[in-house]
Amino acid sequence: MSAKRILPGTNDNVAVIGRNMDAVKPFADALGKQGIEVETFSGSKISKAANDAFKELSTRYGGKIPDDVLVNTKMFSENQAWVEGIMNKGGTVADIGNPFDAGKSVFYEMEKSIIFGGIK
Amino acid sequence: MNLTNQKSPLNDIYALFESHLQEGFKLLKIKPISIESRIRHFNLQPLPNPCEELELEVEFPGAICIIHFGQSEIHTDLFFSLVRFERQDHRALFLGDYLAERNDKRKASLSFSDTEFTLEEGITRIVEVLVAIFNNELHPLLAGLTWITAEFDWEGYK
Repeated sequence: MSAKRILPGTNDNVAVIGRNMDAVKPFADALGKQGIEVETFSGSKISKAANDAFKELSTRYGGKIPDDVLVNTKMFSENQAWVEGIMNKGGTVADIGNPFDAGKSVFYEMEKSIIFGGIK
Repeated sequence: MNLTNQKSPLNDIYALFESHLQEGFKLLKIKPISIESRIRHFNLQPLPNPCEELELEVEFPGAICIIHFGQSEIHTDLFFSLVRFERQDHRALFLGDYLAERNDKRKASLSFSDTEFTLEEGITRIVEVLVAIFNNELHPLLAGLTWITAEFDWEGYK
């Protein structure tokens, strides 16, 4: 797998984004094994409050939270803050795109919008 | 989040779940030290109205297991359980994440619709799955011999 596009930054950190976190993680892990400092929006980047609330919400929606609700979750605002932080730090961003041809995700759309603006 | 212990119109259903769980837990290899239950009311943003669920705090020798059971306020035919394990100085393990990471389809058995199952059937299924997982896979964690972590399950949202 390769990055669909890269936004070059001013430091050596690389943030990896993509439509499917199951694809983002192995890609990020592979970069990490090459000695590159990599981060993704996962693990300790997600607060306990956001994690717990998201699980509660998803459970109540039967695993299908509507997009208009998703964009008002703490998880969404933390994801947004993470992307904005990457941009403010001047980090490089590798976008692996949508390798599994999944449906739209408001999280990924937001990330692309902040990082690449209107460029699809 | 506010934690209160008020009565609920769902008390009978909660009692059914709790009694099934108590019976199921008699089959565990690692026995609970204590089980406490309470009804939990809390605000869940961005939902406008408070949510409610039964919360069971089950203490095992090596972990505290928090089991939530309730009826969805959004899809009222849906009943669910959420299970997590906690130990001091360790990241909590959510059973859903653990099962998703292993592509274990039993994750779907932790909730049910009362259009497909009776309450008795749905609750029985949840308890059977919990007992099987606790006995066959998570008993070292419950005994305090190890700890397990799992990636957050995005469930396709991202």
